[in-house]
Amino acid sequence: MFRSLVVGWADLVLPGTSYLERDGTYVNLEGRLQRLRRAVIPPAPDELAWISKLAERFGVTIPPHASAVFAALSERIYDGLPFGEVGEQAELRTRSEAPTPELPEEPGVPAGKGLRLVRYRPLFSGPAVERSRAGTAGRGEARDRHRRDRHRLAQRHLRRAPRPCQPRPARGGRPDREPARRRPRRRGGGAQVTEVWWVSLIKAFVIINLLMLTFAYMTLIERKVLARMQLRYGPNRAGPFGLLQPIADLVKLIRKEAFFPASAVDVLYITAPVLSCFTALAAFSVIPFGPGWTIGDYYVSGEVVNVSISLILLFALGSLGIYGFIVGGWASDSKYSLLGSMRTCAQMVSYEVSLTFAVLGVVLMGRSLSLVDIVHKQDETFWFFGPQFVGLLIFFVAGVAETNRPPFDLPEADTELVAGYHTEYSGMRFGLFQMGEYVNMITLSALAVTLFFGGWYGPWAPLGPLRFALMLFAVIFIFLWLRATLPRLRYDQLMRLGWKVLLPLATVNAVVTAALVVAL
Amino acid sequence: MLRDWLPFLIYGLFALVVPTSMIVASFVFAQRPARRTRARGLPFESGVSRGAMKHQRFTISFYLTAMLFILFDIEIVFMYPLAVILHRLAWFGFAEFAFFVAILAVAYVYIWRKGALEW
Repeated sequence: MFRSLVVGWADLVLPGTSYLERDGTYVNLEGRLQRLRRAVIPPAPDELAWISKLAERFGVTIPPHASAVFAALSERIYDGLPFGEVGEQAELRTRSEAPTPELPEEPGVPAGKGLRLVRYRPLFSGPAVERSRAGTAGRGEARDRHRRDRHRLAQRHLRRAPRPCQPRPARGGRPDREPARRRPRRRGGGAQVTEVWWVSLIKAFVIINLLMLTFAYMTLIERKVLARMQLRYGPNRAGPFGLLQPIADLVKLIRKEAFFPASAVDVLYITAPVLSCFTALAAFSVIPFGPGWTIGDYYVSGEVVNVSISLILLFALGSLGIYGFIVGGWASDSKYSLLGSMRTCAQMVSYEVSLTFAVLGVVLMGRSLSLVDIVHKQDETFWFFGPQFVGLLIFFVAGVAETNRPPFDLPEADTELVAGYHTEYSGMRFGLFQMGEYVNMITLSALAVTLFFGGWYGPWAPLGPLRFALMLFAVIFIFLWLRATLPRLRYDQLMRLGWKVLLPLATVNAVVTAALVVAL
Repeated sequence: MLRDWLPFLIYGLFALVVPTSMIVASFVFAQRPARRTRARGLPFESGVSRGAMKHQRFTISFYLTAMLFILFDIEIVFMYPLAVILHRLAWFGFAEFAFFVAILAVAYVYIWRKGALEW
């Protein structure tokens, strides 16, 4: 259902259907009778269904089926032409031959039961707005605030919107700025608008830099946290508290000698880390981190990409990332690399099944594959970690395995495999693999926050991104904590856990959730 | 359609430029060794190298796992669209869902009993 800007002012919104969503007939501009056939089942009740209900309350009978309506029409106009023949092979007599329809007497409209027809009221009058605001006062406080925010945004946009027919005078010789194009979008907010492309560009630039900054300082945080848990200091030489350590690492990695192993397949060898880093970075794009803002005349949405299949996109990119590991390990042509990459591949595909299955429960409850929609759904109902607690556990365990983090770090088990798939990599090439792994970890933590803990939405809505970041770091801390606490699994234990414990558990969870979603 | 995906293309471009530029930087700023030795290019080995492993045989379990993954993952991909509209299909949809999972369960029990999940 499209929700446009004016929805905020409406007292009542009735579901409508498009021509693809209803059966019936219509007369086109040439005067031909045409048959409409429903191609899509509408999400809400059929238009005719609620119109007939409404008519009933006014004391008028309109049959709720298109064929019955047509029968009533046909009796008067089309000489009893059956509905089934319209659009098939029926022939009509010309108008002169057809009998003049007898119009029935206008029935006096009785006073409906509790309903009356009122005069049309212009949309933008003040009282309508006031009333719809007052109407939300009794509801939950969070819902009220959310509604109010939407109102404010909508009003601001309406005020700013240029009149389409009048050319605007250029201001002071400066090229006139084009306001963000408005278009209703299919999602929760009432006043959603799309971005101009260069806003997306700037945002993408900012987000990717933030992501890399987070990655850089996560390495530091990880080393610090691990050190403290092991009663050490951790890096503390470069800058105060070792704050410049990531920069020192970067310089060191870039300055390392760049060479190819003697028997490596050069092109694949150098492409693999790029691929795994690219997929990791790209996967983060679907994570929503805020409600969206209006800066000046421009709308900035609270996520980089909002597509209807964002979850599938994320998992698809994650699967593509596996290519980076297996190609890198194979192309470097070393025993340990190959063993490591095989292990990585088998482990990642095994746990991906459980991971995607665990998310199925959230999709069932969120009724959408778009993370933005899922966040909005949680804001309307509740956080999903309660009903989906089993799902959350499976998701987290599978996520740790999916990112090759301890205790599931078998792909790079240093004690058996030297370093796994990146044994033959050094310098920045190795750094990119590390970056891929850490960014994957960030993305999975962000996904956990988004799917199970309401994402950016919460009690202090304007602080959404901040809350989101805090929860993100809390989840990341658990990743680090696990590394400091748990010993590594054996490979057969790992596979048993993935296929024999998590997968059945996730399946049962999905089925139970499906039953509950249907029943409630 | 394209309007929805345009931000992703822009972002994806950045995501591609970042690692590529880092690779390029690692070649540009890298230290040059005083002389190249043959030993430097040899694959890592904690002993006498027995040559590359690329053309040797490998345990079948990995391939089996990969095939099972394809089976289960495709089935999950099938379930995602169903999950999105399940609340509209109501019990009919749930019956379909349960039937599908039942078939999946039969296959799962089969591969379990066959020992395909053993390592």
